[in-house]
Amino acid sequence: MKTTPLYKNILIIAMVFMIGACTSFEDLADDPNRATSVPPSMLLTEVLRVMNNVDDEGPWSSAQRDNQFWAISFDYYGDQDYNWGSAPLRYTTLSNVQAMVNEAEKLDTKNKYGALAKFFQAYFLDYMSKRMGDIPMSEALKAKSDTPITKPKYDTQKEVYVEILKLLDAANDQIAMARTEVGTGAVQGDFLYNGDLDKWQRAINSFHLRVLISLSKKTAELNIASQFNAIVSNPSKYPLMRGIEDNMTRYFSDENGNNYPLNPANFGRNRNRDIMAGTYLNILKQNNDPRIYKVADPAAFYFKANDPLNLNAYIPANTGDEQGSMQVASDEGKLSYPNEKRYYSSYAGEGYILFGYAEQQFIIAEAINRGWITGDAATFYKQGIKASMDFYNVSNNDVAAFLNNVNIVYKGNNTAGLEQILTQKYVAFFQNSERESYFNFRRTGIPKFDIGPANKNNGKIPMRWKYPQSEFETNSQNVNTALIRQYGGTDDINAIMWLIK
Amino acid sequence: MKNLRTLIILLLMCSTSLIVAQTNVFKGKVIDELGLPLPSASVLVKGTSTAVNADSNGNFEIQLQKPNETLQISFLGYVTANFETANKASGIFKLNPDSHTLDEVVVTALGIKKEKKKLSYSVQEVEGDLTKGRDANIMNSLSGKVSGLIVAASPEFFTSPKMYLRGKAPLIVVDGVPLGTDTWNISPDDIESVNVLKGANAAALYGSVGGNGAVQITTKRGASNKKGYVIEFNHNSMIQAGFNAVPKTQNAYGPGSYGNYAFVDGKGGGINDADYDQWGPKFEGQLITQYDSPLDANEKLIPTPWIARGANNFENFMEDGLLSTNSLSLASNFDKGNIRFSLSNTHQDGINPNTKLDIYNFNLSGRYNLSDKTWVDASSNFNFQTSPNNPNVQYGPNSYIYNMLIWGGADYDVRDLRDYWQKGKEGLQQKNFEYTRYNNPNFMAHEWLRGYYKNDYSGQISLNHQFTNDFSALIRTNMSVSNLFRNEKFPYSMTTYDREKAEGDYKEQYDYRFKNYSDFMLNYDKTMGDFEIKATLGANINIEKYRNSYASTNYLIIPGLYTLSNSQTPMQPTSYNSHYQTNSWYGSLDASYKSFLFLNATGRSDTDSRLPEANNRFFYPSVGLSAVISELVKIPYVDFFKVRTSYAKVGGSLDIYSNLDTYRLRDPFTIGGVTYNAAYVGEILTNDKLKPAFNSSAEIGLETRMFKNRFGFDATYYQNTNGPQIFDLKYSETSGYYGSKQNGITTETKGFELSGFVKAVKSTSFNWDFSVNWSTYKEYLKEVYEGIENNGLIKIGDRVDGFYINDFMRTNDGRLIVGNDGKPLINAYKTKVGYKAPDWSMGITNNVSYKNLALNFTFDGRYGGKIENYVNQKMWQSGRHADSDTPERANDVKGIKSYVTDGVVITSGELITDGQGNVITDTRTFAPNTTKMYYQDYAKAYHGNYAANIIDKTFFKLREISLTYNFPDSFIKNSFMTNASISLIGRDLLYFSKNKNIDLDQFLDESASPLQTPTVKSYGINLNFKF
Repeated sequence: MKTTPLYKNILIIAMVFMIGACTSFEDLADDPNRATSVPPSMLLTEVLRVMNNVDDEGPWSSAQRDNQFWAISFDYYGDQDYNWGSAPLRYTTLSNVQAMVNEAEKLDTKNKYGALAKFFQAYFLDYMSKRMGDIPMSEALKAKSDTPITKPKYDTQKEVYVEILKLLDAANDQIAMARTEVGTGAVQGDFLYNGDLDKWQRAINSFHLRVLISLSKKTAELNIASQFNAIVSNPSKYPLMRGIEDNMTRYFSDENGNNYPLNPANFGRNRNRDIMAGTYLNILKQNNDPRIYKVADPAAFYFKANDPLNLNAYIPANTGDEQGSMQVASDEGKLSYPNEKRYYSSYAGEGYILFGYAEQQFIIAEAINRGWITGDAATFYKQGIKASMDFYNVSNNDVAAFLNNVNIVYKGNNTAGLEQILTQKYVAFFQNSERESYFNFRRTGIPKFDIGPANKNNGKIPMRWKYPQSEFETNSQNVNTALIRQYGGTDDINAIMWLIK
Repeated sequence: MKNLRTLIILLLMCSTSLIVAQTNVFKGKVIDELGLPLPSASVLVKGTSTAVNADSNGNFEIQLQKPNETLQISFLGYVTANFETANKASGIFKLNPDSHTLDEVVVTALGIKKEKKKLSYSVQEVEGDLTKGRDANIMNSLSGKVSGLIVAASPEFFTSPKMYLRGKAPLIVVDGVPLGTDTWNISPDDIESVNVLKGANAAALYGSVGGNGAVQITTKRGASNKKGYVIEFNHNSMIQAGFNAVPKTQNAYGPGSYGNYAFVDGKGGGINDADYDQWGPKFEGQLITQYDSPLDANEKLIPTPWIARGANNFENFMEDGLLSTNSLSLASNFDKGNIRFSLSNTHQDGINPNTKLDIYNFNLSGRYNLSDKTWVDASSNFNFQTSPNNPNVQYGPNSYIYNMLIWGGADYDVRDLRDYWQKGKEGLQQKNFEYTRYNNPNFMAHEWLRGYYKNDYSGQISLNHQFTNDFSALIRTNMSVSNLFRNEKFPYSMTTYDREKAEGDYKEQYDYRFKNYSDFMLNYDKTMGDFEIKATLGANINIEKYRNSYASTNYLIIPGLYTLSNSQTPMQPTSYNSHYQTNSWYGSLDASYKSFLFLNATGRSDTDSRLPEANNRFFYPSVGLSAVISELVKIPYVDFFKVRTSYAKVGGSLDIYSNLDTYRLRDPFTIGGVTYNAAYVGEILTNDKLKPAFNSSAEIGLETRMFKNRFGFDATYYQNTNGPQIFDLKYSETSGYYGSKQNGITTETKGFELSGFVKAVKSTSFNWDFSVNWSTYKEYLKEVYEGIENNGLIKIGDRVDGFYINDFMRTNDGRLIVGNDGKPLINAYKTKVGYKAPDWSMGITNNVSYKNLALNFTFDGRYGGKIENYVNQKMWQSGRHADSDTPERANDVKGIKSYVTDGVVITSGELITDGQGNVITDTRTFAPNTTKMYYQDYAKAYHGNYAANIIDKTFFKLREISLTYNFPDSFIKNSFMTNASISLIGRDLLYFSKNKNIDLDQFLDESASPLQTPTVKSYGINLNFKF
């Protein structure tokens, strides 16, 4: 040691320290914070979360204003000017659907998740196509394939709907098979039906009917009537919803991330700004509808305590009204607000129906009215009304009285009868089923939507949404081809797509 | 072994006893060619390690072993000279300026010292004192002092400025080790010097972290005077008061809408009494029920006069800030080395009430010479940062600006709400002017507490050995550990976004960071005739680990009990861990021919664990050439003229774990007692073949000094190629993914920097010099990816900071197009309104001294660039904007629509565009708008729109100013002190901008301003004593 220079001693000690500090690079490559594989249930939850799009399309959302169920008087929090832009794409959600299938592949629940996956594919293709028109399908979702496609071409809307109908048939077949499989695990992560495949099967078929009725202008082209008949006439193969207990419902509660959109915490923010809209409220008034007392409060200025049920105190705002005047009228107590007890007194509010039994019965009534199938339209029409009344807990006496109202008694399989079916379907949609009331209006013109000075779309209710700007930045050739093919090259929200031509 | 034991003692940071041998004292004074003192000139007893620095008057005292020694005296820019003491006890030594070979030594990358004239890249040292007109954050002292460096000062309490060097964030280096600093864990009084290595050319040896250049801080080391040690005490106190930029309000109208307001419960029970705007009734003394109206016998509110009680609420609420710093240091040189210890405390009271910051810093550094050829250098730093409350300034009910200047009105007096609990509901319910959206500012200040507690430790030790005169080696390791704890107490009845239930919360977060940087370096330095070679070969290992855990309650069960377990429903805590390592080899070679031609070259090879294994090893070089022309050719009046050019390439890594195929998790949610955890696929595809990112930089420059060093400048033109980067190549979302990780996107930054100085007056009693820094740069998109011509709206060849907005719809001749309700129409497609980055930035530093008085000031700012003034937009939306008090507004309140927007309406036809807004046909015809509307609706729709609030970002500031009096020797001579000065100081005293409701200093290329705490002026005093 004596002859070893001091610096060498220190050098050796230092080297030992430095080497001790090293870690194998292989151990550093992986992310300790994230998983490379997850149970399919977590992906199902994600897909349902997107499908159940409460913030944008749930109760008291802007979509429900476009449905003309309510109006906002306070321009800072929104408007109903119908000058809307692009619709959202759902392809990344479809990637999650695919991942769910892949994660379930190794499990005995693969048919259960597989059947739901087919339904979701149909659901989201319909969701996007009915908003925009042609969309990528055959070349879509191939970014990760062996020959990646990063700029998919657009398929025609017709091709998309043919595929949707096939997928829904296949989903029904696969879920029927999955239900018969014994000793297999259950679907987890399902906050809508808690993994109940019977209810899922009914919901899938009910949705299938919704898609078919939405193609009412394409009856001949796609042989819609016989497809419709095939489902309704074969309940053992295609079970349908039996009552409101089969509704696909999202329930709210006083829990983290699960509050009803109107609740005690935002009463002060919303009370004098969220107004009942005329398109909806006037239908209730005209028909002396008992649901009016469940959903709305009378305008304070007109309310008389000795005559609490007087419908003249229920004053809506018109969707087309200029917002400043609406706010002034609201501050004077001259407008009806959402019912405080029902909508503001708890964090649970009411359930949000994505699609339900009432809608299904009205769809069947319409199909009979149109002569697609045989049957008693009035029965289905009344079942639809009753299902909606039950949602609001209207007493049986009031329901019976309402059904006997001359305005309500079914006028037969004619235009007047069709208008009754569609009008009551609209009423039953109140604050539910995302934009379905708008899509029904777009298809049938019923009920008549209000247009006024607040409209910023040349006095029109738009007929579609634009394609996202991201498509013009990343896939411009294909999206422009689709625009030229459909709308003469312009991305106009008033253009008419194949579906409603 | 005796030496080793000594070393261990040093390592343990125990102070060694200082033994001063029996000696003679020699007194001297160092002067320049004009007879002016050369302060801090270095005096070394040749052949020994005894050295001192002269004081500010050029005086020194040094211990001599023998009566006849050789003193080597040196001073920056002057010829080093040797003098014999010749048995005398005192002497005056004159140094001559070295106009030919400015042997100025600067610290370059990795702490390697080099002569500045030999460098082929741009390095600028920060001139002047950084500690007098100080800010709580040391980096703010660099503002305007370096060309190309923008210090975007934050207006917020205890918030670091953003630093941009040539438009990108530089690395911050302390003592040659690139471990960074949070900029608070270093005491300004410990800083010896700061120099800036501009761009990759200068900082290539630091590897990927140095790709944008580096700001290098060198800390002080041991020094001594005639007593053998120096004690320095510095005190600095500043009052912060007087707003530079604050939003101005109207105080004529109160809360409400269209003139309507009546308080009932503040929860929506009255008319616009909850979550309101400021478009309410005019303050005219009329009777209106208010939050503090008395109750009648039926418990109903009795209306009270409506007057602007709180026109000065904000000024009444905010407080004067105080910044006070004390530091004490002890330094010594002794025969075997040197040592320095310092202790400092920074105390700040913010201008927001009940905000406070304390920073304690302990620093110890030393050097011990084990032998003539071997020495150990070590330092350690302890730093404690404590801030019991630091308010959230984001837009929302948490912000005072939001609560008082935007959405809150003048209808209440904030001083009436100082007693903030409701009687009988103490701890449960605040007393306020509204009970839905807004909070009582006093309540927020004292009950919503956000604590920040950080402990930092860093230590460094190096061993140096000189094998021969030519050959030396260094081994060193540096470690830093920081622990941060943050918590937030959110009381019952406080509300903010998404916490409207208002039943309290508690949050905790722990952060741990560990960094280790070790390297080994061999240096070779050889002169052969006219050639000199200096070579370095090194290796290093860099390790970084990070851990974070966070948990929050979901409302509290027991009010006022701030524990994580006191949660109404169970919550999932979160955690994060990361760890990476880079191993590197590097080398540099400097060759010089005479004192004329210099060649620099470096190379570095990194292996980085964050990159895909196949491509995780990468090499990058730099090379530069410089020539001192003035050595070759005699140019009249020119003392020094140098040209330089260099090229550097630096490899870069990618964000850790960003290229791994993993699932992501959403925040969990609970339905019916079941918690659901959603997972989703990463939306950007990974890429095994990803290569490192590369930046390269080329620059040319020239430096000159003339008229006997009275004037000089340094000009640099550079072109930085940023890329190919690692970026997310965008796919059509319809492909199922948003894109994939790829190498691509190259941008090019072209810039020019100029710094110059003028020594305007130089005499024995009066001196005046000033320096100017000016810089500009623009960044262009050069390439994206094969077959891709655009990145979003930016096309190849465009500037990357193009500012695109959804503008108002206008006719071809520029008239506003409005709808049938009189509100302007907005273009659905984005158009360009300018650029975000400033056109240029500049700083001027001025030093004037007359006898013992010195006046220094810095003036700096930036010109051009655009940003959206979000505060202005929000004030228009709320109705609180000072300019919103118009005649039409008075009509609103009476229920009369009277405002007619100056614009046109569409009478027929339509505009048909393609999918990106390009016009296909336009058949529109227009007529003047005649629709009368409420002024409120116009103001919100026009002035309250983003498009109406795009402003020019130009601003200038009188950044700092100090007037210093150095006590004369005659005063000090009889005292215990060797040096004393007192300064009056000011910071940010003047702010010049067209926009006085926002301080533009904090922005470089943002699209919109956030809310900001008003910026204030600082005034104070600095005392400095050396013993």
